Amino acid sequence: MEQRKYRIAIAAVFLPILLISSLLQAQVRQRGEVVLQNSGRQPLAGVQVRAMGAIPATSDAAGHFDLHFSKSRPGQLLLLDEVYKDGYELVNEKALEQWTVSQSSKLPIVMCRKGALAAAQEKYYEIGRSHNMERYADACRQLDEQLAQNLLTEQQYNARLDKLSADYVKAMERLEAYAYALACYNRDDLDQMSIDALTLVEQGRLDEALEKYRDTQLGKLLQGLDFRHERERREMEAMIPSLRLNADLCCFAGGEENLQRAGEIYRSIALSDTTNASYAIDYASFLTEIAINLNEAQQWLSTALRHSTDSLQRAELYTGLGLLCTYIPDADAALRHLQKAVTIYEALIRQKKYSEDAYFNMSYTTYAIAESRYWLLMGKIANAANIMTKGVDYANKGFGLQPDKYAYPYLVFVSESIGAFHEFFIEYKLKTAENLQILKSLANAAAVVAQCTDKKQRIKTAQWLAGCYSTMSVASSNWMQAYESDLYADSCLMIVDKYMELNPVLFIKLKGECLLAKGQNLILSKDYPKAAQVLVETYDILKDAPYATKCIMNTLNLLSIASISLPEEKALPYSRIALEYMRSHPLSVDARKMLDVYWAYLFTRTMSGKELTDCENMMLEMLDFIKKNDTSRNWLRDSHIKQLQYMLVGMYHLHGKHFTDREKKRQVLAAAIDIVGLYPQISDMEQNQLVIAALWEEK
Amino acid sequence: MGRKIAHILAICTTISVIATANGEVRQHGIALLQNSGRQPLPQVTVMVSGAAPATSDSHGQFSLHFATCNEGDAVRTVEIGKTGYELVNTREVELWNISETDTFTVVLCPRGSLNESRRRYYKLGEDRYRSLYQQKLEELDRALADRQIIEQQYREKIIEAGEQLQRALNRLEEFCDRFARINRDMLSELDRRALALLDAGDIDGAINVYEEAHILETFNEKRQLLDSIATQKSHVADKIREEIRLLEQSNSPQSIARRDSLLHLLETTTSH
Repeated sequence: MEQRKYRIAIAAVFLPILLISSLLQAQVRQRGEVVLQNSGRQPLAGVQVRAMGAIPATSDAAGHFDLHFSKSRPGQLLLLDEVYKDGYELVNEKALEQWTVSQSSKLPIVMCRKGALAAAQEKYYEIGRSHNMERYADACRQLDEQLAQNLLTEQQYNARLDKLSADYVKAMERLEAYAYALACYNRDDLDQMSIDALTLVEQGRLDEALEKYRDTQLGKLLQGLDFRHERERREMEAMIPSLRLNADLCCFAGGEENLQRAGEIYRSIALSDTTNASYAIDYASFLTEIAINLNEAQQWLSTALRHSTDSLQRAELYTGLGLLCTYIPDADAALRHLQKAVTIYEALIRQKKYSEDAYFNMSYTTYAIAESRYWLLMGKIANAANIMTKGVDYANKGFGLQPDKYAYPYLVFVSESIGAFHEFFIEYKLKTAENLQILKSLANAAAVVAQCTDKKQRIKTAQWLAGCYSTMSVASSNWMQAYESDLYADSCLMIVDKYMELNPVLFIKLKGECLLAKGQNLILSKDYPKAAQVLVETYDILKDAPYATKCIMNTLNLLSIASISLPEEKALPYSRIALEYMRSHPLSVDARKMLDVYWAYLFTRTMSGKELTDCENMMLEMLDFIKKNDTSRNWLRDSHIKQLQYMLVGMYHLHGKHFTDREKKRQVLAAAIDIVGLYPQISDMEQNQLVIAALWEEK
Repeated sequence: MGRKIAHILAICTTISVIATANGEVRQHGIALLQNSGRQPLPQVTVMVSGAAPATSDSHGQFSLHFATCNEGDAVRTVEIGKTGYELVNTREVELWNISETDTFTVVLCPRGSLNESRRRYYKLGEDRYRSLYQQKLEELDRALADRQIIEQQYREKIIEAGEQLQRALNRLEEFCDRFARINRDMLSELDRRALALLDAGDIDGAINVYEEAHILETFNEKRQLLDSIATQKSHVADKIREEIRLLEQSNSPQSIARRDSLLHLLETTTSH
């Protein structure tokens, strides 16, 4: 039952927020050396070495070679396919069977000339055979003497003779293997004592050879080493709790140096016993969450898998691997791992002790989330919704069995499913009332469960719940339910405001998203002044927040759209704010949304006649932007062309005295005509172009 | 009379045989107050499935009798508590397996003190992360001003720093809970010193305690030592196998006896 200690709550551990992955290749270089047996360590060149998982290598003049393993796990066994050189054969095959791939130790390969091994084996065989025969003959003679002296009965004599004969036969049978073993010894690797003993054996002096070994007291030696080994190992194990606390403090402290140290500690612990699944898992968790080194995390999870015998733990490890591979990304590997995980789950569910176990059920929901994420990233949204639907039963069961314990994972599951189903409905254009109701009931479930979670996770709980409400707000807005959308947004804001003090960074983004949804609703209901007010508030909150650029961009896009319908004292500054921000953050900009911003900027100025100074340059920039970015030529409609004309009329007729640079004017008009020409699907193309061209004349 | 006694004895023997066959196990336990110098806590109710409820005495001790469970089975707790207190070492309690020899330790603290500790650590962590983030921003601003990085890199690094901050904050709750649940009475001197510094708000000092003690270096040295002992063991084991081969060939009774004892030795010494 020791295995229970190693069960991990993957939900908390393996939900990476980032998609950044490190591209470290786990290459291991195994150095090796080929020598000739009993030759004084003469190197052997031109030996071909083939091992599974590595590029074949050939030994150089010094007998050296390198095996490069492209994917290697710590503790992996070396599987030699072949060692070949014409005229030679491999001697130490047996010893190499247990070799683990290592960057530090050199792989020793011993070869001899073809036939040498057999010859040596024959030699030892002969020595052994004559030794056995002699002893047998001696022993028989002794028995005969004893019989002759009446020291034995006939019966005893026969019994002992039978035993002697049986022993003799056994010894002869073993002789071949014994001779082979002796033939394989490489004197270059033996110490003096063993060499002397071997020489004695060759001379037929077996007993003297044995005396040499006895004098060395190998048994005592081994026991002493074993004792020290055990003692050191226990001392090391005793240090691990302190090391873990040290690592925790480093992670808590943050900062590159501390995090690196924490990594070193986890790594040392994992290396101290590569057969310990729990150490491997700890290091893998660190690599996933903190170092964001998904490739190495993957290797350690694989190591843990090799030493894990508990089925449920294996299923969780496969799930973790699947999730890692999804983000690395390695789609094929991810699918393989997930399939292995689900096979185990499906086998276990048939056993009552699992199906009635809350932990098992919640563990399955973690798997469901992992599989759902995979499908979402692959774009197969239906499959994602499918697995989450399956997961709902397990979530309900697990939570029902032990509500206090599993409230948080249940909340996580419900939140993820809201996201998955929302995307599913949008993708497949299923914005029906029933489907919105499904989302709503999930959100309600989330709200109920959020009240049961442990206090120690209240901030995380608040985050997930606020996230649910935020998604629901967006969903309602997509379903054109502005009022409901606002309600959800307000619910989200309530949570956010409560926890903002405690942790602004986490909640600012959520606040921004909610306000954005509210702003969008106001625009949909055409209340532009109010919308603009909300959106400006949103921008103010978000502008200093890190990584909220997407939200800011959406906010400013909507603000631009709203500003067009506002009086100029609001319209001008708002559109300027939007344009300046977007132009200074080119990396985060969505091209289509950028168009709206340019448009609003130019429209508000050309219509009001204010702030006209850089209008020509902006116009050129915008037209060029459209040309470059609207590759499918579907951004502009009839209304756009009409508005473009109004803008140009505004610039050059109504407020013409501002624009004195003839060359610039020519460029602008030419660009405008050019753009109109790119949209032949819009009616009266030529007419529109003529209207623009006519602006050339001074009025 | 003799027959009756014999009869009774026979029945008693049968009963005791049945009892042990069903695995009646007694689990000894103790309830302690967290961070109190191992102060025992009386009047703690311990309810687990498979045994009658127990209450800790004035020495904090209690006993659980499992009628049908066996040594090594997992203990499923129903409730462990005392009015005004809450359970601290929930994780260890969750992973406890029934044992006749080991003591089942439950650690409690006054209700609310866990929350208070968590809050303290949270503030500590959050302040620290924010100031680290500010520092990073200032660093980047300087680098940009000195033209050590270009605009694009600057923006990318700002985003990266923000994401790091968010990750750190996401983890924070977990750490706060972990630290709050540590029972300082069970710690080594080193760990106690480190935690004391943490509690005083000196995070760097806490980490420094370990640096000065060179704990990681010592651990790594031991690891290498262990590896070299393992290698030595492997060599000696090889030589023993050489001897065994010769002994088998010699085949005399003494040789076989010696071979058997060497084989036994090889089997019982830890393998790697």
